[in-house]
Parts: sequence; C-alpha cells; structure tokens
Amino acid sequence: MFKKIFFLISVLVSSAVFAQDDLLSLVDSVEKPVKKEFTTATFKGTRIINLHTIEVGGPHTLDFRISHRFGELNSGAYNAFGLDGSANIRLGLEYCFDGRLQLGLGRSSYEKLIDGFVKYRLIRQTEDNKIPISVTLFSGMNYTAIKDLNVSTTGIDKYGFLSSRFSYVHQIIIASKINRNLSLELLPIYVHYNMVEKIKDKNDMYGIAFGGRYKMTKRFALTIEYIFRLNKYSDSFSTFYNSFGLGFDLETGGHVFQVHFTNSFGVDEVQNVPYTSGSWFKGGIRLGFNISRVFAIGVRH
Amino acid sequence: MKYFVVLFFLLVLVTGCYYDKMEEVYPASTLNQNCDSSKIMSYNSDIIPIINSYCKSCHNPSNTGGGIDLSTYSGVNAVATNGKLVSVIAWDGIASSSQMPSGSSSKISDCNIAKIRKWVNAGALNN
Repeated sequence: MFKKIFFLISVLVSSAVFAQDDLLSLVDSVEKPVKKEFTTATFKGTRIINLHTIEVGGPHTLDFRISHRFGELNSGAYNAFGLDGSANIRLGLEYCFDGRLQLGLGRSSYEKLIDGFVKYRLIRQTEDNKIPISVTLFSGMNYTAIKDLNVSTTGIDKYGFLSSRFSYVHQIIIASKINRNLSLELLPIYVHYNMVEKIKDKNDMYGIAFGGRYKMTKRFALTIEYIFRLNKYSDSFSTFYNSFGLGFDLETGGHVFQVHFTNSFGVDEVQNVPYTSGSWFKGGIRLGFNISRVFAIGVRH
Repeated sequence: MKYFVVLFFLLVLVTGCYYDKMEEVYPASTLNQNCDSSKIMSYNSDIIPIINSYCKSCHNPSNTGGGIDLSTYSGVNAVATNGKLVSVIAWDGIASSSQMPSGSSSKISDCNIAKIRKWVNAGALNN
C-alpha cells in the first residue's frame, strides 16, 4: 500500500513539474523576471561513495563511471588484504538532458546486476537560501542476469520466472549546501525485490541514509556515508550490517576520482541496503574507487 | 523524453508488484535443506544404498527389468551417462518417458534424486 502511494506521488509530481516548466518558459518570453541564483556544486559528482547525490550533471552531459570494489581487508596479507580477492566492477553511463533530468544505465559484475534509473532534480537550493534545500527524486529498476548455480543439485531454478530477476529502488534525496565547504544529505530509501528466499522474508526493505562531504581544498574533499536499515526484512537480519563508508574525492579537470573504504561489496542500493555482509568491527571493509569522466554531448549554443 | 519517464514508471508499477518467496514458489527446495547433498557424492557410500533400497529388487542379475542390471557399477554407469537414470527417477521425460520405481505412485525422495543427480553431473565416478 505504502509502495503504491509512493509511486503515485512520484508519477504525479514528475508530470506536474513538466507542466510547470512549459508555463515558466511562456512567462520568460513575455517579461524578464529577476533570475534566481541557484546554488551550484553542492557535491562534485553524482555519488558520495555508493549513495547518490542530488547532482544530475549539466545539460547535455554524458557521465562515464567506473566503480571498483576490492576484497575484504580481513582476508589477510596473503590476499594483499583484499587487493587480490574477489572484485566488483560497475561500468555505467549517465546522460543528463537539461540539467534536471538524468537517465542512467550500468552493469555490475557482482550478481551480474544491470541497473537503470531515472533521476530528477525537483527542487534546487537558491543562493539566498530562500529555498534552503535541494530535492532530487530517484527511481531505479535492476535486473540480475546470474544463473542459479544450485540447479544441478536441486533441479530447481530460482529464476524460473523472469520477474524473479527484478529488484527496484526508490529514493528521495534531500541535500543542503551548508557553506562553501560542507554539504550534507539525507535519503529515505525503499528497496523492493520481486523474489526473496524464505517464506518469512519480506520483499520490501526500508532504510534511511545520511551522506556528507567536507571540502578541504579546491580539489580535495572528505566524504562519509551511512545507511541505516529501518525494518527487519529477514530472520537473518543480524547477519547483515548497515553500510558505512569513508573516503576522499580528488577533482582534476573533467575527472573526479573517489577513493574510499566501505563494508559494502555491491555498488547499487538494492545490494547495499539489505545485503551488506561485511562488518567494520571485524575488518570486513574494502578499498574501492570511483572514476567519473564527464563528456559534453549534443547541442552547442 | 518526458514520455519515456512516464513509461518507465508504468513499467516499474506493472513488473514490480511481485511478492514471491522462493520457498513458496518452489516448495521442493525446502526439502533439500536437510539433505546433505553439499559434499561430493560417492558411488559406494551414497549411491549404492539408494539403488539397493529402491531399484535392486527389479534390476539385478536374476531379474533384469528392461534389460538393465543395477547390481554392478558398470550397469549403473551406463544408464547414468546416457541420461536415463536421472530422467526416470525425476520423471522429467527428457531422456526417457519411464517413471521409476516402476508402479510407484510417487518418486523417491527429492533428497535422493538430488544426490544421484549430483553424482551423475560430477561424472558418475566409481568412487
């Protein structure tokens, strides 16, 4: 029920804002109102570590992203503390149309997860702080292409139905640029899996996430993120942990390099929110990095 | 592109309304959880006992049902490698339409089927 209401609100709000845009352009052509100064660069890029930020990029820009997560630190020196170990790599392309609407597509090697999303900058913070926050709506649909390896022993294919391969994530990203150096954000997140394992498992997972960035110099910033799980979606709830990450950003020209430590192996929210199996207290953390390169594509004015 | 966004939300609404639990959709999967088919299956300790309980009464040197003798490794290996062994006990009709044990109204347990299937997939070795 909650989910259906959330969907309805998202669809209605999105379509309502489109109408608003058309009306506004009409007003602009008639008279020149005082231009609102929108706050720019609340965050340097579209991700803090794994969490999305309110940023969607400039108009007509294509963002090529590579995210890499190494193995766990507690796998020992022989495994180079995770550098040798299993790795998850996500490659993604994200295109922003008009500075407000972004479409993204990506694929992670972990669980062979293909993710697609729509991201819309609904409310933008203004320089004079009349609007103190930015709000971005996010909806994602994911497909796991992995084969059920137990078929040869049980004769049962977990993904017998195509629908069982899909999972979804919806979030409202609320952020504020507090001052030139500090930006904070809060995200209520809703994850839905079409198929979960046990009868007592729940298909809906709720979480609330927090992220922050502190700029130390023009090119260097410290980042932090934490996802707090709100509901007990499985009896094995305590075998998973809340996702927590610490890192730093380095910006050079058109590239943003992000290096961090996090306990989540997955890059996508559907994997991080419910199924993070590493614990910070037991050394279940891993080195990771994100590289983002923005290309300007399309109409030049 | 705005239409694409609305289409996306409609697609999410239509495809995202499943609340499946694997144990409800595939009840047989719960039976295998108490079945120790996780280790490597051995012909001598895992397969022979199953054959003795369910198959040997009809498939032995003095009474070879269907011309098949399952009292020796070579006999079992022959029907394992041609796919018939798994097909007849799983009743899947793939390599054979026969349903074994013959005359039985139900299959042998899912656990035993899983064990034999695993042994066959690993090469039906004489281990």
